[in-house]
Amino acid sequence: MKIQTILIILCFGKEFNESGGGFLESQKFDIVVIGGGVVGTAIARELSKYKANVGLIEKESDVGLGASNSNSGVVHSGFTAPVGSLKADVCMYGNSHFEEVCDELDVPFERVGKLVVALNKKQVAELYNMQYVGSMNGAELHIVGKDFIKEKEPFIDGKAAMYSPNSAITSPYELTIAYAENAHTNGVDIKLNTEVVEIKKKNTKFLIETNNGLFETNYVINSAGLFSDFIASFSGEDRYKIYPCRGEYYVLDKNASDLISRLVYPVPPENAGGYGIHLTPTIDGNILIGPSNEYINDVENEATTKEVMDQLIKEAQNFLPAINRDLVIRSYSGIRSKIVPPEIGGFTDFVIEKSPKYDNFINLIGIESPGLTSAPGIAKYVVDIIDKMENLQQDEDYDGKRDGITKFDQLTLQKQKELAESNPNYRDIVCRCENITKQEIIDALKNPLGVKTLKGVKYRARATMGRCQGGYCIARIIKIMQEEFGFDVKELKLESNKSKLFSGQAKGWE
Amino acid sequence: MPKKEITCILCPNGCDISIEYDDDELIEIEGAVCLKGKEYARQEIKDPLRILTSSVMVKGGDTSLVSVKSDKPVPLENIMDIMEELKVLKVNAPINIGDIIIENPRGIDCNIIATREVEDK
Amino acid sequence: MINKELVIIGAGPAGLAAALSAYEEGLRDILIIERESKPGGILKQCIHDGFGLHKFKEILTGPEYAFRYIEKVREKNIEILTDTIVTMLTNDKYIKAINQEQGIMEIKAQAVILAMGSRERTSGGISLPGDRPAGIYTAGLAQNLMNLHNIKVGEKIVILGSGDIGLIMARRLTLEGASVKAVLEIMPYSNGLKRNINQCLVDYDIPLKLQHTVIDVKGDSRLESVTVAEVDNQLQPIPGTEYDIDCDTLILSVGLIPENELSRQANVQLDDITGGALVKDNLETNVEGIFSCGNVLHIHDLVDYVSDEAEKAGKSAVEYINQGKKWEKENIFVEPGQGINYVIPQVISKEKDQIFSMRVKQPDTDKTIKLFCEEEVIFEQDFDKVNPSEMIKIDIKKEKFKPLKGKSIKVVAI
Repeated sequence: MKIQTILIILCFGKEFNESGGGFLESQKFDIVVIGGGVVGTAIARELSKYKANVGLIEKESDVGLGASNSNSGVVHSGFTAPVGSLKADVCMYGNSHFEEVCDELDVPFERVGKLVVALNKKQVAELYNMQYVGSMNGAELHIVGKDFIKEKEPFIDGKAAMYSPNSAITSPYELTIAYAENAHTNGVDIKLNTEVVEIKKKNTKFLIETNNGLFETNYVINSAGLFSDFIASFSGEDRYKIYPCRGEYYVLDKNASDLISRLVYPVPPENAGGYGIHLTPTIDGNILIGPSNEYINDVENEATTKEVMDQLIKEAQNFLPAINRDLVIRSYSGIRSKIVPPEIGGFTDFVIEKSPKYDNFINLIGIESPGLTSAPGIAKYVVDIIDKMENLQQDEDYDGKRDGITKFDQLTLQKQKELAESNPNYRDIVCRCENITKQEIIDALKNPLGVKTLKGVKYRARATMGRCQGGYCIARIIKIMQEEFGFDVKELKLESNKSKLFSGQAKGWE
Repeated sequence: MPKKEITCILCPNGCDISIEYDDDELIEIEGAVCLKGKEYARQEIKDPLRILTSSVMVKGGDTSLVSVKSDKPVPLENIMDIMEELKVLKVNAPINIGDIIIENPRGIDCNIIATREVEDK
Repeated sequence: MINKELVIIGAGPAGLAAALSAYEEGLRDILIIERESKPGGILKQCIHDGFGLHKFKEILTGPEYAFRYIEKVREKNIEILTDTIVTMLTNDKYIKAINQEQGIMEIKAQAVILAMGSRERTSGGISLPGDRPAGIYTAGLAQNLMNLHNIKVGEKIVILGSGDIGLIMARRLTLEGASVKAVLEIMPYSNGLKRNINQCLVDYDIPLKLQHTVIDVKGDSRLESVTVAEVDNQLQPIPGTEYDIDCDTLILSVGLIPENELSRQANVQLDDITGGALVKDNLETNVEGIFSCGNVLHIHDLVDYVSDEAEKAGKSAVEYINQGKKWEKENIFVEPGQGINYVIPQVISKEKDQIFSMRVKQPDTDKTIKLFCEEEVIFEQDFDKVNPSEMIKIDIKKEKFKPLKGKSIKVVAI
């Protein structure tokens, strides 16, 4: 008996799990990325280009449920970060590679351009400052006058503006999902609903203890966003603290889409009174107002508040008078990982570095705007850090091409007729507001990561994001989940494991 | 003397009726425009009656539920009892409007009838 | 391309009544397009009673009321395409629709009747603050899930909005064993019918809190509680009046919005106040041959009136198909004035008897509704009580309009 036990321990590398109170098997990786946001998944995908056993740990039920799905979806041209900063570097890299990445991953991308609008003389002077800094970073920026504004954006009031033709928009959650799916296709083991409890050193490696098993790894990449300070503490990194800063947004009905075609930003306000909120057209055809700026205590408090919502409308009306409350179909908020408190404020650079104690524990702390734009650049930067230590070998089997769900509504009439003819599920419109077919809902539920929540369907197929917010389609989506996937009423979830949608059947035994 | 304000539901007039009563005995009614309304008011004090509407599970139908109602008003105090009865009931398709689903549920004098049709699956 | 004389979008009470009325006028080439699997529209999920008092002198449940029309439509063999959704409508009355059996269909209609009904105002539409946990549902969706899909949305319920749908769901959920903690209403009066307050709230000891609203929603994954506060006459929360109610479900019954997305595609002009089309007295919109009736035109409280309105639309559509466009010599514009929220139709001809549907802005007693044309009162009617939640219908004979010199009529409640 004793000999058998020893053999088993040797073969499976059991570890004593203190919290579990027994010997547990640990799964072995070369590299583990902690955090499945757009940056974490970008890193995982970049790593999957090489021969390495990579894992990604994400505590939520899906990838991208932190700041990655609740930002403006803007791909910046990089004119706000100081020249030579890491932020500027990865942002410029990101901007120039973004279109290519979106193309490979079948994620929408459009260079709509941006106008930073000045309402008075002082702000006009500020425009010239911004143009100077931005140009040093390599961004193409032009100062334009009232006529240009009137011609391009007739609903906007402004004295002058700075025009950035390379600013673009994308779908941040589609991108995160695409990164994750492509990483998964290329061998990355993505573990959802897996939360880090503790990370211990084991010789030169690390032992990551989670609620879902033990992971032994050579490298840890901490891309945990709002929890990156917590994860960093396991590497002896205690210089940084995350100060969560919430940004609230309003989403406008698609009927208001004609109001702007480009990103419209005011000149950032001098005093703390205004938010300097932006008007952003989304790649799906809505307009976003926001975000606001509010330091909060609870790192996960994604609530929206009445005061901020009132303020957003007021500020938006300053340079787009046509905006009114009736156009709002939804509000949401995202939380930024700031690394200095509001009293200090000012510019802080991205922290992407080996921990002070361990070369093989890399921390990414304070990845806020332009985090989305920088994702391709950050991924390259992190992989380079590892490459210098490991001399990574290319994996010839790597395939960077990923196809997303076929979007019926965006096809030509001819293509729609062809698809509809061959597949009855394309002849069944489930989400009436956004014209989403039954096949797209099924495709969403069949996703490679195995996510089967209502929000999982929302972020993949766009259903429930229209003006009726699921009033019509939720019942139909539920029916599909029950009939095509065998779900019981009580198992249906909105997002997390505890977010049950219903209490059970109305009639019948429980 | 206790007073009660009710809205009569018997016709579109929807008379607001004020009732003064003593120990279930009607003292005065104000606001009812017709005799039926007065009778309704009297009943409200004595023993409020309500039409019960609900749904019942269906087996082998093109929908999982059939909507039902009591074919006459039943005592308000018995409604939850009847609901208990309906909770686990299963009726077979096909169903026509007016079909009796269950007679005298929990001994209450009424029939529960279907208010819609259900076809075979 | 399929050619049809009359296409009706929606087989709810409006669409069905319009179809029957068109049939009775002699038209046969009628097609009703319905996105659900069965006709009946919203009535399918309105399993409570109270329908048909006017129309049939009986108290019927929603499905029974619908069946009265479905039966006749079947008898007359009027074509209904169910499980079919219209994805495009142009102002040339070209329609694109899609269903499983026929795939994408293209239809050219001579006349179209819009009968798409309405959708519910959502949490976004009322700027509901707070977290976004599971457990927040609009009342109609909760009703649909419970009555058609056998799904109970929760156990400890708070309802925001005392309109009829909210009141009905308060009773419905209570009957199914849930605990309804309160119904909150931001206004100082309830929006719902008196009989529903009695039979849904009073019967079950469910408190109705007027001049209250939800100011915060708390819950991580599933709703845990709502924070409620009293509001002042400007609908602003009064500091110091806040308290929490433990619950796992928040039901929103905060209004219906006519579903005019297809109408917009067809360049139908909409009225900002009703959310529905601007119509003439024959219920024709500004687009020739496109008519509107039912909840898609303005939100009704009695389905009986929907049927009346739809019958008129059906007749008008047939008249248009047979006689073509009628150029009215003198149109008069009808506008809501003091005390009146809206009036339909917004444009009338002098040559016809008229039926006006309107709503007042506030509940009141002893009001007189007057119609003015350039300072002159052309009609007045007294009301003991008026309520925004009860639509008022006024019949006026053409003789009152004939002698008018002015271009517009103002309707007031004083």
